[in-house]
Amino acid sequence: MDLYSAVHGLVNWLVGGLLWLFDSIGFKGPVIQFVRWLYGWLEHTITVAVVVVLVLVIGLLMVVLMLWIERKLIGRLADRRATMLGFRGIGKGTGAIQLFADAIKLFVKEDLAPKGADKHVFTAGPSILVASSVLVLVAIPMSNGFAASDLSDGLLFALAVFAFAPFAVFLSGWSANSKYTLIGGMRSATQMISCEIPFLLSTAGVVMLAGSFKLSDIVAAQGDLWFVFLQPVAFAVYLVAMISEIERIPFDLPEAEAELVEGWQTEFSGLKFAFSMMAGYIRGYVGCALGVILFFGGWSSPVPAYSLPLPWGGEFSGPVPELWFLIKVLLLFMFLVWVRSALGRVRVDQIVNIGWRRLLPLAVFNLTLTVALFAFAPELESNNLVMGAAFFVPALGLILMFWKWGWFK
Amino acid sequence: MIGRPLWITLKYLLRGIRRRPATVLYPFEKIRLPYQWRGLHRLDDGRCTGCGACSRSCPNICIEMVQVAEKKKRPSIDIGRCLFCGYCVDACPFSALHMTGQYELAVFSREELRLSPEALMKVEDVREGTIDEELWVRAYGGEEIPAWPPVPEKPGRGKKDEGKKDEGKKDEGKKDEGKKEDVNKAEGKMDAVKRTPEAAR
Repeated sequence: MDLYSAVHGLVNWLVGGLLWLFDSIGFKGPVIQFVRWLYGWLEHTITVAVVVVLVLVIGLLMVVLMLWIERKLIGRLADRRATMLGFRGIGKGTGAIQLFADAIKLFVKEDLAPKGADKHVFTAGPSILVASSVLVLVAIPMSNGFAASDLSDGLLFALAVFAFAPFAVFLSGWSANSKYTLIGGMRSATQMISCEIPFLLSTAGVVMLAGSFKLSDIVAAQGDLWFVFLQPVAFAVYLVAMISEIERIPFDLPEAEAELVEGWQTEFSGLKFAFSMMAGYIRGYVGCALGVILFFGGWSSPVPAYSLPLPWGGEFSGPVPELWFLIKVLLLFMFLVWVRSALGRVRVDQIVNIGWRRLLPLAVFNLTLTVALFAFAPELESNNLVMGAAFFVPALGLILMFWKWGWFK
Repeated sequence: MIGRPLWITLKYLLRGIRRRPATVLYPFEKIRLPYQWRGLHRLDDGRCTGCGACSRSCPNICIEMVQVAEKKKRPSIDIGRCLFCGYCVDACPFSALHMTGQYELAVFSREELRLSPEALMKVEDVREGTIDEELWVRAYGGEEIPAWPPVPEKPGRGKKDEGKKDEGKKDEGKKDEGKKEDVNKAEGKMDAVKRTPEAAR
């Protein structure tokens, strides 16, 4: 049973119960008839709305969780205790209400626009950013059933919408009539052009292996061997390009707070700033989720199948797949936090170099290797070990070669 | 280039599991002070003779002798100008001044920064139980932590035979533990011998 039919059943049950209640207390008449007719008309719209809100709420909860994890983990990585604001009783010292304090602070701030700013575009920038970030959530399934819509071209859709954000960033940077935001927007465009192509090419190998753009098919294709073992080069390229796409610290040129005040977000205040930050974290969640789906087996359980008898009868065979998915996403995000705490920001010329001269050849190499192996040795697919070796050895040789050339210096 | 910073941060993360991280939740938790901590001054009225040595030794001229009674002067300190060097404490021939661990000195107005002798007498010595013993052991290698405030065996006003007594004690100390003497000098502990009027001169 998928999410849509489950929610549909629930809504039907609730509305039907309500109408039955009205019926049973003798409240009949044209009004009830009209409501009945209206419900028949709007049944699917309401269901879709509930599903979408559910997915959105899960995405926002993940954003909150990721913010908290980032703060605590980055503090620990720097040998300090990070945010400690919490309730006296249960959440003391956990920083649990710091996020709410920040949210309240941002909500009550005055909404300012700089003099000479193009006000409509200035408002449209963060709106487009948030909208495009939230829209990707629709295409991301959390398990075979739990998805707003498991599109048959889900990966294409997700990547297309994912690539939309630099446009909004550039718009808001340009419209604010400020030097810093303009430079930030320009940098965002530069970075996007450098890293988008390798980002897309790195996913192409996975799509070839899975034979489908559908995200649940991609997860099903890596049932016994995750694609990260078959496509290590693609994963490396994906990771670097993804960090660059979501503008996190080794590649956060558009909001380099040491050089540009806050980059393209400089002139935002209050809700606009809150939403642009939130969009950044939603993009982080989406990037990590896509990475988990493409390379880490999505919601399939990482431990071998087992089943424990439960004391009240029945059997326990691992948590629900959605939980595994979220755990994997958070682990990948923790790796990003680790990278953020450790590495410094690259320069603009370096990001162009990395994108065009490092990532793009690697991605093309990976794609060529995949195509070659599929074209000339299709029988490899029957044996996981041989297939893994066939993919892994050239990748290892390539990495050693690059090491010798000093690419990683 | 990429591996080293990653390893360093991971090391700090793992270290933070075993012991506490470097920071504390300040208004609710406080770090333990080093023994040599120089906080707000405390005046011992019973020992002070009003000689004004502290006032003369102050490099920032923030100690002023004020008349509290007839023929009785006591120091008052302008905390806003004080640099907490501890010269006044060293200069005091009768150990009437010593520095407490008090460091939360923010006030609302400039006038409150000038502490009268009465206020100085009321300063609470929060040093008790706040000394970082571990730090002391690490720095001085297992020496016992001296008592605070370091009240030397020294007569106050009106005793005549102070010189002789302290001379004897000085010799004793040097014979016993030359090392400990060095330690005391190094950390600037108030030495009984230095505090005699002879030494001050």
